[in-house]
Amino acid sequence: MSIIAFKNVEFTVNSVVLSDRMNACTINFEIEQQDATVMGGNRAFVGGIQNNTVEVTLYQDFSSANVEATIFPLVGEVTTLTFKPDASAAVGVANPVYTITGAFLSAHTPIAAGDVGATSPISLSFTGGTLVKTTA
Amino acid sequence: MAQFKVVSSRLVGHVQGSLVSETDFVGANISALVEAGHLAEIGSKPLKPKDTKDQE
Repeated sequence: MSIIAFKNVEFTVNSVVLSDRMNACTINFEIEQQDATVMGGNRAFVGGIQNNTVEVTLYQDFSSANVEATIFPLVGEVTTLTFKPDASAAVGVANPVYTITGAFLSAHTPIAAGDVGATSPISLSFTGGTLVKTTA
Repeated sequence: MAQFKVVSSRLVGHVQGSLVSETDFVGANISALVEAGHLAEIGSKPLKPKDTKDQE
């Protein structure tokens, strides 16, 4: 085991591999805390439901079956996302796969042009769904 | 059950040109994959061109 530097994360959205267009990603796995405080006790909580968010930055690509073609039809829909820290290594404890099913994409910015001549990174925010971590 | 041909090289676990069905994509949005050009439904008729009217 060693400190990992993310260099080759495998990313799929709706079963489509877009790792070669991805620049950054963040998975936020959250179980909502629910108050379970009772008289005579201190503040206490129990776990509620999952409230996950996934942020992905992709470089826009309008060529066929690429970024725009894949993402545009998913706005307002739920889909499945997968992330593997090292695309070239086998799945295991040191290289788990995170699968989020039922992730909802509410918005997409097809054109996010910055300076002239610059690439066009687009940021996507998926919310909700169920996250499962697989190590085998 | 609808069958599809894989027309994209980006579908994980599926080779371009292979035949698949909906059950091969659990959790995926099939209509989005078709719209995106990753899958082509077998036996589906091509879209008719929209009727157009010449401007008078």
